[in-house]
Amino acid sequence: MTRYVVRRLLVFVPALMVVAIFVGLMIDLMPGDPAMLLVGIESPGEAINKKRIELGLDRPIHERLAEWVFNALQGDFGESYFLNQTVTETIAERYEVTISLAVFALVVGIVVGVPIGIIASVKQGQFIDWLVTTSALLWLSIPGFWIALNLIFLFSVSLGWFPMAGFVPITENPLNFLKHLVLPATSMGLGLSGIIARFTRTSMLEVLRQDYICTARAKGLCQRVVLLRHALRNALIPIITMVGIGFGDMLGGAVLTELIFSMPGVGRMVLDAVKRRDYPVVQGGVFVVTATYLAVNLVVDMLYAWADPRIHYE
Amino acid sequence: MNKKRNMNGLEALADKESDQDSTSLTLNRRRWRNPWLDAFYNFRRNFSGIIGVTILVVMTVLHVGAPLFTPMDPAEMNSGEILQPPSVEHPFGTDHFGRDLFSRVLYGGRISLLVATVVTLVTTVTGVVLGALSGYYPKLDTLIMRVMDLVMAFPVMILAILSVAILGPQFFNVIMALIIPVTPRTARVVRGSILSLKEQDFVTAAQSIGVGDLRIIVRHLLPNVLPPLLVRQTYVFGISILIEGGLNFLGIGVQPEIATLGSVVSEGRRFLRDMPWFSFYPGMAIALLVLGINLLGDGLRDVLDPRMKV
Repeated sequence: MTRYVVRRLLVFVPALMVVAIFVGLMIDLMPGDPAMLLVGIESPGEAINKKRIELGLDRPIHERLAEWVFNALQGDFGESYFLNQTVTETIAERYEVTISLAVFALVVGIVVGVPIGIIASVKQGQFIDWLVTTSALLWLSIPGFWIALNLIFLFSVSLGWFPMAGFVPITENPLNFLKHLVLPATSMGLGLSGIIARFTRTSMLEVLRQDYICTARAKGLCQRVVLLRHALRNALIPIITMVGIGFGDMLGGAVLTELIFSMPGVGRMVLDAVKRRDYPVVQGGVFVVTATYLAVNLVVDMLYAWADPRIHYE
Repeated sequence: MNKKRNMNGLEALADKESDQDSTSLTLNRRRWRNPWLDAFYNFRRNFSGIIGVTILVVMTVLHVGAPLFTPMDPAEMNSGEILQPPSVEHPFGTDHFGRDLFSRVLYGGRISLLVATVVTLVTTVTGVVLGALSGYYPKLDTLIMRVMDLVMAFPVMILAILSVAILGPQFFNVIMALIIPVTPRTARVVRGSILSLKEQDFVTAAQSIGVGDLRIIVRHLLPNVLPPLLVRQTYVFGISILIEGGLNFLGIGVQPEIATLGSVVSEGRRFLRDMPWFSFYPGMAIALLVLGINLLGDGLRDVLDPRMKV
């Protein structure tokens, strides 16, 4: 197990470097001259040249790229063009929001998806199975941003149960922190719960057909023990994969949710930076979100090894 | 006749011999049925598939034939009819510029359908080419899959936003922003199928009689890849509509003057308290389109690839 973890970590570092190179190349991949775009197309050549030197674009690409990757891997993404602070500081202020949102959405997805997936598999072919599979398909077909608006209308505007917008750090007031997260996390997590429910059902159905489940029932174990201890553990592997992928979707979806609920997160920061052409902030934000996604997938791979000790790193 | 013209010598010989063979083969031939025809007959009995097709056909007819269903111009402003509730004249009401929301939703759906169709068709081609090369040639596999892994390291929405940031918010760029994250996922499906198929006896048989690689891939492998690919691409259609809707909702999709479902939902957000129907209808249109295609995908999966049944 330790050897597996170490080798998996050794793959993680080059993956992070390749992502850093790709994100670092962003400015050079853009059609046109970024300096000209920033100062305005009709500006005099002198002003454009000055901006180019200011951005360091007069230096050779390999030199700039090497510097960016080296700094990025140490958490230094340069200065924002507009915010008057370093990108690292900007991200640090907003990271908690995005991570809390993604984690809570994931929790909603798992807490709703896994149990209804199990129920559907046990009641295969019955009305409840049809109900679960159909509603799961419905949830994953509805855009999260539309669910969010409907939830706001229902639970904030009409009933007044939850706040419409904003974010409160957990250290400030844990209850308010939860209250502010319920609607955003639910709007993101419902779609994911549909996907997880479908995966859980399929995975459970495959496991429930195995001989050892028959043996477990034959020796008189109760349904709960058979399902949770014997079947679910083996059905977990595809579900864990789905949770890993789902976390990426949550990080991406956070951009929309943060905008709707006016939450000061990394996603909204990237979106604002895209609109303002604040390239260092876009680069830093995308790199941090992607690095988080890669790290979560690393954890997911380790969870595989826990769920199925037969898995070894080849 | 055409079929024989496309065959090489040994294949034609085998075919000729089989033509001359005895009764048992004739019986076999009688029993042989076109699997696609079988799938079509089975699909007709598939409840969710039929519901999906119905939703999709109705929505497509409404969006594509928008001028037939609404005489209003989606961009025409009317200062005398600002923020009107639904009525006979304006079934979905009007927006803050007095534009008819029904026609904005109908015309907006055209963009979603167009983007999703182009993305689905292009990623089918790019996914098949990359997946087939990767699955069939082990030397290319490492290179292609490492590049695909890099693209898949980014969350889909983040990569789409990054692509728009690099390319600029325009109609064509939105399509590109979707093709980039979707292609590797389709390529993996094709690669996976090719990897398992190429070990089968019929491929070895074709190789042993000297059939070229291109012919093996196109004539023998790709027809077998088609069922999972078809199912996969129906989901790509749905995902494209959702992401395109998201990008337009964020205001970084197609040009703001063009009505899209995502942008109309976004405009309605400001009036959520007093006019909840403003963003309700365009969101409903997105949900129905995606639900229709997902139901169709599920139906196709049940009849074409029952092993994948959820």
